[in-house]
Amino acid sequence: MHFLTWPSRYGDLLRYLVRRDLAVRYRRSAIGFLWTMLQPLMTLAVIYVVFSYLFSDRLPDYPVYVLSGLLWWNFVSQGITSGMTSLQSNKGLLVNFPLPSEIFVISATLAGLVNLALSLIPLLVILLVVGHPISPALLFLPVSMAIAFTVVLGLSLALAPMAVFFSDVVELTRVILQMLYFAVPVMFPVSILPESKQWIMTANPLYSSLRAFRDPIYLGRLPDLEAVLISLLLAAVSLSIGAYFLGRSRNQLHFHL
Amino acid sequence: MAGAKSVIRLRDVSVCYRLANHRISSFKEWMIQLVRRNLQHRDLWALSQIDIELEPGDRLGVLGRNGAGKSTLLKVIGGVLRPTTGSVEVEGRLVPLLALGTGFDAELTGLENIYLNALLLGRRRAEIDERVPEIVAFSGLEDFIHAPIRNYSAGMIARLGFSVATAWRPDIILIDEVLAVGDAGFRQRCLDRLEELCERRCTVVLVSHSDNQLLEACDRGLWLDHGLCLADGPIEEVVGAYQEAQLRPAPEETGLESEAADRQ
Repeated sequence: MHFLTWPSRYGDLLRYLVRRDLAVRYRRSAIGFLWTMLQPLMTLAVIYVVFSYLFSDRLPDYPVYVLSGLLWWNFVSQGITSGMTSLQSNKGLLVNFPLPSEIFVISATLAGLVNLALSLIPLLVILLVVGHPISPALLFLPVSMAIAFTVVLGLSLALAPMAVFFSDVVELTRVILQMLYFAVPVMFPVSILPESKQWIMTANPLYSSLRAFRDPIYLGRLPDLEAVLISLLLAAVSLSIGAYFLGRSRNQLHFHL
Repeated sequence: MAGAKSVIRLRDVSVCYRLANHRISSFKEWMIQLVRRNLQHRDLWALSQIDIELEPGDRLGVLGRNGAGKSTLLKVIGGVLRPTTGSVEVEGRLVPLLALGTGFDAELTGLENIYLNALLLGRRRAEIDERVPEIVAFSGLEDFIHAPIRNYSAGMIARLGFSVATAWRPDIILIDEVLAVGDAGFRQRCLDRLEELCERRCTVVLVSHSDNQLLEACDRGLWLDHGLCLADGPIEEVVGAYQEAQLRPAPEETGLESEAADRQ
């Protein structure tokens, strides 16, 4: 892949694909992009009603904890789901134009990133409503989002070609994501597990990416270097696997799509 | 554009698809077969040892039965597929005009689709801004350009595709059966436009099942069968030979693909 000429050759197309991915999602909906902001708030309301009695003594400003986790989670799960299936959903373009196949995975993931950025608005509202201190550490968020983006992109790139060859990969990933939702502390504290069992959550490399995103918001401090490094490592490994698979399978992709 | 260099050179090009003997679509099944060392597949040669050399202004018509490798050939020339062996050299700006509506999104408007399609063909945004009025005018769709193309007829979509594809006066254009749709008026318009492009020394590769269209639009013919080149020469001769072969009772499947070795 020609990393240097890539942006100038495909930048305009990529921007257009992202716009299309975003626009098509809300086509024929009356309030369009507002859904991006309303949906996490509605989920937050449900979780708050159900769980706040359980956890709010251990987690002050519980809504902030949940919402920051939810936004990150929505990006990860939706990003992987749409990135993984992006080769199939852009089949018509992929088999007919001499384009690098990664462009569709990147555009799907970027569309998710735009949604994440938009949903920072309701997060800010909740911060103000709850009266949670707004720390300068929030300025680190763009970096955290870039890390999460690279992680999701890497996983999607690795899964996308597999999803073309084996349709079970899509189903399997959905199930794994569902399990991960409970294996990563999105709506409860790590401390619900006894200390000896907490590694079940903390060993998960995705948890590092969550910490990089949530710590500046909820704890008001920069994330640990360790969390940043682990998530970057995850991103690098999955990016290389993805690039390798995608590079090797081009001709076979055409036949299976 | 006259004198622009447009050369296509295919040397000993073969394309091989790896076909599983039983379509394995589940990961579990694949693992089981892998463990049993039973992953058999046969190699299907969609193209075998094709040599083509085209000069500027050549108009090549490709004919053959379904599955003969015609579309694969276009994809190899268009750079969408890499050949398994052999080399492909293409010089000049190439535009593929493939199946109807490829590169269009039904939910987007005609205008948005012009952008999408042109970007897919490798144009930059600024270039497109400049050329949009001309494209819209040539397509004759001014009244519908802001409507989503799911409301377009097949003929209208073909018009739009053809207008975008030819807007930048390509050096090479690959056409896969698209001209078959649309009314007689539209077809004539396309043929005229192709004629005009050829006067500019544009190279055309046309895949068609219509002998008349091939005779009308091309000067050279290539007959493919099971991925092999059976004839290459003046279009009248190739079409004649092809028609003659069609009149004979269909020969048994030559089974090029079935003789391919089963491998582990």
